[in-house]
Amino acid sequence: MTTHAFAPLTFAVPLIVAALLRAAPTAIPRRVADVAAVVAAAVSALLATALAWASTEAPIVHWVGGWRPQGGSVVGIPLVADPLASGLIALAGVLTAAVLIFSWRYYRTVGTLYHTLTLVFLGGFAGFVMAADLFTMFVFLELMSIAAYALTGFKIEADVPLTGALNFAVTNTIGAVLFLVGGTMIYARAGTPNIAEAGQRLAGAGTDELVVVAFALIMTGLFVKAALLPFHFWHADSHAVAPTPICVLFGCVLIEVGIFAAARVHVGVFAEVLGADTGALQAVLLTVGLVTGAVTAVMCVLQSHLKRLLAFSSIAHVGIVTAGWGLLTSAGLAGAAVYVAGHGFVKAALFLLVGILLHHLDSVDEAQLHGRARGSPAAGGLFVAGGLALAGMPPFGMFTGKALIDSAGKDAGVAWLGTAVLAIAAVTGAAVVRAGLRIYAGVGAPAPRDPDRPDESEDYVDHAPARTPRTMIVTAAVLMIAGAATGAPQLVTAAEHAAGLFVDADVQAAAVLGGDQAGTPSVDRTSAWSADSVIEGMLAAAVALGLGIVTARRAGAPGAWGTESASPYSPVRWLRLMHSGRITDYVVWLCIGCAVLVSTSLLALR
Amino acid sequence: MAERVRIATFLVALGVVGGGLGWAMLDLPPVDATAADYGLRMIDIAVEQRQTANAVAAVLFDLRLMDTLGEVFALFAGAVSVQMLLREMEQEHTTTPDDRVGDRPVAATSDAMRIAAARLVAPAALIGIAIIVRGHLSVGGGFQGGVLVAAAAVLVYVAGRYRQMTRLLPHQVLDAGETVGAAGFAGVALVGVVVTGALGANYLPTGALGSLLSAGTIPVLSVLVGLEATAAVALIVAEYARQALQVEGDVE
Amino acid sequence: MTAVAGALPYVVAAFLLCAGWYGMATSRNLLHLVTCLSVLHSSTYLLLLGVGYRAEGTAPIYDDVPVGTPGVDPVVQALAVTDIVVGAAVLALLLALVMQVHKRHGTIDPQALRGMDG
Repeated sequence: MTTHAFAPLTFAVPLIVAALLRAAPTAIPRRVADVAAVVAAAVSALLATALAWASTEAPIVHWVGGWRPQGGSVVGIPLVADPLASGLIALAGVLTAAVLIFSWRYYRTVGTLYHTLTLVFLGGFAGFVMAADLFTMFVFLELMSIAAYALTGFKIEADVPLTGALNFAVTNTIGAVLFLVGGTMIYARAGTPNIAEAGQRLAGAGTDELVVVAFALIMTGLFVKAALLPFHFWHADSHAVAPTPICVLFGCVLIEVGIFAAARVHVGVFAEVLGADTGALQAVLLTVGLVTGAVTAVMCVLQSHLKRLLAFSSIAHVGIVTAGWGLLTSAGLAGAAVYVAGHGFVKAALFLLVGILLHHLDSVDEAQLHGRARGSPAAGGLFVAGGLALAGMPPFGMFTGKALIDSAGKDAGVAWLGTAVLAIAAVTGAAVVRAGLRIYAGVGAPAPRDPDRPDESEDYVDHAPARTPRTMIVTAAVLMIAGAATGAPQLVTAAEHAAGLFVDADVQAAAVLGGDQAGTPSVDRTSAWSADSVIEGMLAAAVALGLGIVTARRAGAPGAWGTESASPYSPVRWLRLMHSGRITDYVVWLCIGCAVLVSTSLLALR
Repeated sequence: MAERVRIATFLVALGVVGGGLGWAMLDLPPVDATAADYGLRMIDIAVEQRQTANAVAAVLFDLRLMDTLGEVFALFAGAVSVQMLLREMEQEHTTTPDDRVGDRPVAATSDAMRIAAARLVAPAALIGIAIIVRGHLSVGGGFQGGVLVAAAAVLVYVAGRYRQMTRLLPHQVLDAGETVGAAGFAGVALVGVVVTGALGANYLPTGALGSLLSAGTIPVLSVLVGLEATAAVALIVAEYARQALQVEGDVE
Repeated sequence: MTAVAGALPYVVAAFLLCAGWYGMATSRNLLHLVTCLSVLHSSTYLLLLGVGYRAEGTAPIYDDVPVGTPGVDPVVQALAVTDIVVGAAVLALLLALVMQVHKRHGTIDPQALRGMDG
C-alpha cells in the first residue's frame, strides 16, 4: 500500500472504528473500547505524519473512487494531502489519542457512545482538512460539528452545558449554511465545485458582486468555526462546559481548522481572481485577527472560571494566527502554522492540569481554588510555565511562530504587527500565570466566593485512586515538552517549506488537475532564532510574569483592573454585557459580522 | 429600549446581508440556463461507464462517494447524539408507558387515525424497501427509502400502539442496524482501497443498464445506507417517544 | 418577466435565509428558534436545485426516458439529499437538547436562558 492510499485512511479508520464501537455500548469491555479508540486515533496520526513526510515535494492527491479527471476536467473528489494539511491532522490525531486515554471515566455513564462521537469528530476533521472540493468541505464540516455539539452537551445533568451546546449548534449551523450558499454560488459561476478548477475558471472571468459576496459568505462561515469576533461567543460558552478532554480538541484544533480552511479556499479559489486587491484583503484580515486578539485577551483576564479563561485565550491566539495568515504571504502562513503547533501542545497541557484540579478539588473557579493546590508544586510549575509559553517565551512554538509572523509582517510593510502580537500574547499569558500563582501558591488574598457561579464539579465521575493524577501530570509534562520542541529550527524550516507549497496555487492545481508543475515553489527563509527575537520573547515572558504577579497579589475578585467598582459605562462592563450567553444575541452578532464582511467585500474587493 | 435597539441593528445588518446576497444572485445564470458542465458530464459517465439508470444514485454512491460517507456518518452521529443526550439521568427512572406526558393526559387516538395508520404500515414498509432496492434503477435511493421504512415503524406509534412499536424495533435491533449500516458502508469503501488503491472504487461487475444487479457496488451501498437511515430515524423517534412517555423524575 | 422568473428561485432562497434569520433573532420559544433554523437551512436546498435546473431538463433517471435526453444536474440533486439528511441530523440533536433544557430550566424562552455570561 503506497502512501497515496494513506490519505483516505486518516478519516476512514476512525469512522469505521467509531461505527464498530457503537455496536453494543455496554457489551464491549471497557478496556477493549478504550484501547480500540486510542489505537484508531493513533493510527490516523501516524498515517498523517507519513503523508506529511511524503508530500514535501508535491501534494499527494487521492481521487476518491478512482475518478481521475477525464477530458481535462475534474470528475471526482480529490483528497489533497500536503505537509500543512497532514500536519494538522497529525496534531489532531495525537491530541485525540492523548485525551482518549483520560476519558475512561465517561464510559461509565454512556458506554462507548463517547468514544464513538470523539472518533467521528476526528474522522470528520481529517476529511474536512483534506477535501479539496467545496461541497465535500461542507459535508465534513457539518459531520465534525455534529459530534462536537453532542460532546459539548455531554453533561446533561447540569444547566449550563445544555445551553452551551445549544448556542454552539445554532451559531455553527448558520455558519455552515452561509458556507454552502457561498459555495453554491461559486459552483454556479465556475461550473465545478473543485477548488483548484474553480480557481482557474474564475481567474479568467474577473470579479463581480457574485464572486465577492460568495467570498464573504464562505469566509463568514469559516470565521464562525474559527471563533473570530464577532462570531466567537459560542466558543467560550461551549469550551467552558464540555468535558475537559473535549476542551483540548476544541481549543487546540477545532477553531484552528477554520483558518486552515479559509486559507485553502482563498489560495485555491479566490487568490487569483481577487489578486489585484491583496492590500484591502490583508487589511481586513489583520483587523479581524488583531481586534479578536485584543478583545478576547481582555475577556480572558476578566475570567475566574479556568476553562473559560483558557477558552478566551485560545480565541486570542487564533486571532494571532489569523493575523499571520492575513499577511497573505507564505512566510506569514508559516508563522501561523508553527504558532498553531506550539499552542496546541501547551494548551492541551494546561487543560490536563485543569482536569486534575477538577478531579481532585471539584472546582475550576480560580476564586474557589485559591491556595488549595499548594501540595502540587510540579503541577503549579507546569501551569505557570504554560502561561509563559503562551506569552511567547523561548523555546516554545509560540515564540518561533511569533518571530516568523513578526518578520513576515515587516516584509509586508506591517512593522507593528510583532508588537501587537506580543502584547496580546503577554496579556493572556499573564492571566494564566495569575491563575496559576493564586491556585498553586496561594498568592494574594482569597477572593469572596461569587454566589452566582455554579458549582463545576463533574460529580458523575467516580473518583480514581491517586495513581491517576500522576499519569495525568506526566502526560501534561510530556505535552509541555512537546510544545517546547515545536520551537525547534527544523520545524520552522519545515513549516516554511510547507507554507510555500501551500500558497502556490500553481503547484496545487498541477497536483490536482495534472499538468506540469511549473518549477518548485519559492520559499522564504527566516531565522526565527535571532538574538532580537529571543530578547523579545524573554521580554514577553517577563511582562507576563510581572503582570501575573501583580494581578495575583491584588485582593478582591480576579480581573484586577477593578472591574467590580467600574462605572456603569466602562468599556469593561459593556464587554461583559455583550457576552450575555443568550442565543438570540449571538444570532444578531452573527448577522452584524456577516454584514460587515459582505459590505467590506463589496466595497473593497470588487 | 435595549430590545428595540437590538432589533433595529439586526434589521440593518440583515438588510445588508440580504441585499448583498440578492444583488449577487442577479449575476447568477438564469434558472433555466444549461447547468454546469460538471454535473452534465456526470450523467454521461453514470450511464455509460457505470450502467446506472439513476444518475443521482451514481453520483451519490460512486462519483461523489465521499460526500455520502460524510452524510451517512452525520446521520449516524445524529442518532448517537440523541441517544446520548436523552439518556436516563440518576434522578430519573423509566416507567411503563401510559397515556400521560408529565401531568397532562394525552388525548386518545381517534379511530380514524388508528385505522388509517395501521393500514398504512405494511404498504409504507414495502414501498420503502422497494425504493431502497431499486434505488439505482429508478427514482429513489438508500436514504429516501430508509426514511420511509422508519416512517412505517413510526406509524405503528401513531396508530396508538407505542408498546408494539418498541417491541417491533427494540433498541438492540436499531443499534445493530445502525452499526451494520454505517460500518458496512465504510467497510465497502475501504475494500476499494485494498482492491484498487482508491477509496470507494466500484469493484463489482457493472452489469447491464436497467437490470437489478447492475452498477457494481452502487446497489450494495444503497441498501446499506437504507439500513442505516431506517435504524437512525427510527432510533431518534423512539428516543423522543421514550423520553416523553416513559422517563420520569424530578430533575430541576 | 422572464428575467424575474429566471432569478425567482434564488430570490426566494435569499428571502428564506433572511426570514429564518429574523425568526431566530426575535424568537421567544426554542422550538420556534430551531424551526427557523430549519427554514434558514432550507434556503440552501432551493438554491442548489435552482442552480442545477435547465430548461426542458428531465430528472436524470433513464429507466423510462431514452438515454441522451437532457437531464438536470444530478450533482446538486445529490448534494441536496445530503444537505437534507445532515440538516435532519442537526435538527434531531437540537430537539434533544431543547427537551433536556425544558426539563432542567422549566422554560424554553431563549431570552430567559443564558449560557455562561461575562
